[in-house]
Amino acid sequence: MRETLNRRLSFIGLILLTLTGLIAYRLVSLQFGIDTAYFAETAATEYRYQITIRPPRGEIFDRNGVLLATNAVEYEIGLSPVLILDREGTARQLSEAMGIPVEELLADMSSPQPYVLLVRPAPASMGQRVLGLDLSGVVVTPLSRRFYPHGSLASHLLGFVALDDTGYYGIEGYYDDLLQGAVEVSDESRIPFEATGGEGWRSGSDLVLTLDSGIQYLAEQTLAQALQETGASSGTIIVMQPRTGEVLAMASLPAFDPNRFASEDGALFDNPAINLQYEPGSVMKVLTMAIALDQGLVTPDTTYNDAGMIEIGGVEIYNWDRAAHGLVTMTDLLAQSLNVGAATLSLQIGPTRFYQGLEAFGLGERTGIDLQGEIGGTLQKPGDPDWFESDLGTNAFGQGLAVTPLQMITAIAAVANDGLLMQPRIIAQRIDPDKTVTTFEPEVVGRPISPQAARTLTQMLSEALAREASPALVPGYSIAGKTGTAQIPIPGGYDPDQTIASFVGYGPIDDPQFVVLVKLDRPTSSRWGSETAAPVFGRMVARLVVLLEIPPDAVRLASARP
Amino acid sequence: MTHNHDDHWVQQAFRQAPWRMQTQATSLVLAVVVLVAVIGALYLAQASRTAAAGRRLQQLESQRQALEQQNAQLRAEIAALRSVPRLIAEAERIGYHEAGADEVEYLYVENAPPAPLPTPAQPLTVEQVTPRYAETLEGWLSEQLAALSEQLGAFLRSTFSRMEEGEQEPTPSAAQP
Repeated sequence: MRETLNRRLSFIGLILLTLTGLIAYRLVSLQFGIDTAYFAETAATEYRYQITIRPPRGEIFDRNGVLLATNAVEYEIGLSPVLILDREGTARQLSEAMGIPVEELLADMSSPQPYVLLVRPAPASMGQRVLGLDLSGVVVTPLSRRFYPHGSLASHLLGFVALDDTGYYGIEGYYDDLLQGAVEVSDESRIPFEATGGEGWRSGSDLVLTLDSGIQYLAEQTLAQALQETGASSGTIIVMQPRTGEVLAMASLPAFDPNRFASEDGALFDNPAINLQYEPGSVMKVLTMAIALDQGLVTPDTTYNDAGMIEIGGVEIYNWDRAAHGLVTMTDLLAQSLNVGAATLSLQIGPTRFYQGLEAFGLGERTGIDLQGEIGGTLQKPGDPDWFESDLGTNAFGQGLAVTPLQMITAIAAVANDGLLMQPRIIAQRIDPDKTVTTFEPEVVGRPISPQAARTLTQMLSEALAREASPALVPGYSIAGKTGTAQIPIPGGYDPDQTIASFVGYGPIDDPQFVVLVKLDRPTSSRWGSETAAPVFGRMVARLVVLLEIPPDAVRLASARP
Repeated sequence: MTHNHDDHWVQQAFRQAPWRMQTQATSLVLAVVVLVAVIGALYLAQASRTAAAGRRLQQLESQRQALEQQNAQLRAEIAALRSVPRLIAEAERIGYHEAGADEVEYLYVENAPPAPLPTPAQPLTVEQVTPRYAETLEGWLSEQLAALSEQLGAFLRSTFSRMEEGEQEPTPSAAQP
């Protein structure tokens, strides 16, 4: 009996041992056999997945710390019908939170599709309401989007971020890599054992601009009013600090709302201040006079006999009024904006020194401002296939060459800054994710004219404005500046009716703290810069001096005395 | 023969009783089983704690993301409320108007220090709010060992110091604060 029991027990033991051995063999073969790689890969696909980590995009501030571009959240709300347990209840709650009819939601829930999209993008408030309901089968996915709290303010300068998270135009385009931060593709596991909490992300750097949002708003408001009053189709106002080259405002209209870039006209995305060139017209006489003064060829009281016409390279050049002005001084030349006088000066300077002078002011080359898409204008020089002898005369008063508004204001700022040409700047500071702050200092690009020539020219420009009782003048403040009325080139010549009216000026003349350029395209109320752009400059500066806290000359100079 | 007979008696005298040998074998097996069970239990306890911590980590990660999103949204809403067009409209609504140049009076203050340069507001980073979670089993063990050795060291130091105090009478000045 006992022997039989022992035999049976031994038999069962043998069976169990065999089964255990088989299991062990299978485990070993799975772990170390030829199919190991396959099984490991199959298992990994079950619990491992890749995610692309897009760190928060760096923010953009103005010079006073006002947020100009930040990141907001929107949501995608959808359904996984098979996971919905209570369709009626879910539809009712969703309907209240989202404002979609219950019947519509119930129809979506009957879909055989694994996922049904309800709303994308849904506003943050709606997404958070639905998240708060915590409904089974309702999928709420956050979507990060760029947000510009001031709407269209400075839109040309900021650019925008498209749906592919790439920045286009302006600061967003130029500094896209820096703002984006380090985009990482990370392996994640669903197994809690392997949770690491992530290594953290490296967000994009923040940028602090030289822009002042208050001055930018003033420029845009003034420009909008100017377009309305003059009937101009578009326009640009730039405000610059001449000592540092800092851009305080860069406004162009019509503008666009970067929050809704997808529905905006793509033609508006170009920044007319740097992407579009124009013939500057009589504002160029400032540079022509600057070169002549710097060369010692003339003084403010030097005279020439204005016959009303001069022929250069076979082309006849006339004054704007087609009149002869007789014996006039250099200051009169500027005050009356005489083309014949400017052409006479460029002839006197000579082509080599004249074009060297224009290049020294930065014409014909990009300024190098950190904005996407800047162009360098058009400046033909002797030796170029498209240069003609007559260009020496016409270029002197701003015809036959083209500049961007930024090039023009930068060149005039050099006159205001005692002859020093500064690098125009829009970035004041970069703040990296580790809080390292990099401050960008003003940079001198060159010295196109001597300090003496610059100061003499400033006095001449100021006197010229006063003589003409220009509407650009601001009571209590000494201003220097020049109007420009440029014809618009068309195939075969110039448009006989339409012009580009502009004014560039600065002040106070003893210590210039701002340069303002006003450019109006195709004004209909008057074709002359003196009647359209100059009053806009005057209105703009009258408010600008308050924002910049610049006291009137009488107060300022009195307090400066020892 | 006689010699063999004597050996047998010796062996008989020193051989373990059968029940004692069985007890020893059973004890050995039991000891092994208990040891394995203890190791298993420790492993399970540790594994369950690791899994719970991992799960908690995943939850905290998603919570962090949600909070970051809420934070970003709030920043955006605050920025929109502080936008220049809105502030100007609001100021005009409550009766303010833009100061003209003739409405501003400038006062000259002798030796007044220059106004400080404005600095932008800095958002808080995650690193500033919470330290990064980086505990591992190895790290936990070394922390426990370090704590244990510190306690042991403290215990030994206090024991030795008590022994030394027992040998030396405290001086009155030492008792003074």
